[in-house]
Amino acid sequence: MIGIQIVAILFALWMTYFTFLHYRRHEFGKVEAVLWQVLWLGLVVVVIFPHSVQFVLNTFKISRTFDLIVIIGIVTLFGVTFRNYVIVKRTERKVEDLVRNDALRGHVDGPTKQGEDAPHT
Amino acid sequence: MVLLGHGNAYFCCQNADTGWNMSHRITAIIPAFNEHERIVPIVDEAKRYVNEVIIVDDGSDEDSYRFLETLKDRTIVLRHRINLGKGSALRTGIAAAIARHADVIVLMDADGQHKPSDIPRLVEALEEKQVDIVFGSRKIGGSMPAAMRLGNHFFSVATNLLFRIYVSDTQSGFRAFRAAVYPKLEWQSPRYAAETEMVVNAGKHRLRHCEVPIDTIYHDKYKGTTVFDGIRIFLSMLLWRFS
Repeated sequence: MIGIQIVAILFALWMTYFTFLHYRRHEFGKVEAVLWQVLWLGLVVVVIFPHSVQFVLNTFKISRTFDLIVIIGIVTLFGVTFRNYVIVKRTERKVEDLVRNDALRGHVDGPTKQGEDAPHT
Repeated sequence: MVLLGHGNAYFCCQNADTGWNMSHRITAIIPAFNEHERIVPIVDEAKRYVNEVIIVDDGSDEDSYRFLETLKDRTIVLRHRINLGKGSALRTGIAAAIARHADVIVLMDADGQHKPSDIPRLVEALEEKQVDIVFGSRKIGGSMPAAMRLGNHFFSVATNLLFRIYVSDTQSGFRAFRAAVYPKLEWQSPRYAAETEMVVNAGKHRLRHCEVPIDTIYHDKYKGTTVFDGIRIFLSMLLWRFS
């Protein structure tokens, strides 16, 4: 087993622990926690048995398992970045609306009499 | 005071002090962020030329906001609980101004850069030249910092090439426009790109516009748009052009 495999296994175990932690804190639901655990377990399996994904390598004409993991990682990162961008934009809009409505509360009824706020002379 | 009669939307009043005749309901909007040193004389002088002054405190610290609160007897002070940016603060002020039946909206900065005595020239230009928006243009040269001069020139050329509208000072925050055209002018940029987006939207909707030279006093060269803001604004322009 080479160094990079050990690092990947340690990373997967670390993430397994964190997934469990979030589940116990009720930040993840049961299904959510299981899905993440399956992902980390899958990573461990692929790292220990690189040939287990040989059929995928053959299908997509990728020479090494490591390349496959890097490609999946990059594609996932692009997806996550896009999703984060959308969520941040949406949240910014909501915060702006919230702050604006709060600022305007009590100020948008308008003057009651004509010219009551005419300039100081 | 002579009422022209469109409900309470229009009225005409003669200011004895300035002789400035306002035939529309004019509202000045001043966004402020941690700015209280220079705002009092600006508000007091602006009140001579407009019907209403709206200050939008954009998430300033408590001391600055408490100070602005003392101006509530002569202005409307709106508060953003968190800092959203100049573009957002302007939109909040305009929402209030329109709800309070403003006909003409004047935008100006809180740092004392703009002279309220220029307001009549901007508003008069709206009437005399029959335009929808008047851009106050800072005089190029003189006290304008060199980087700002260069940046301004770049943005003027870029807006002209990309949107077919030429404004010699796209970054100036001193502007007046008819409230009725605001839906066409409305910007989405929360920060400094708002001023450029305003120009871009005026170009896109073919709004009638003109420029009026204004005097500017540069108190703090480290405030306002930075080079990075400039790059961000330019990237936004490309996005607006090709989206």
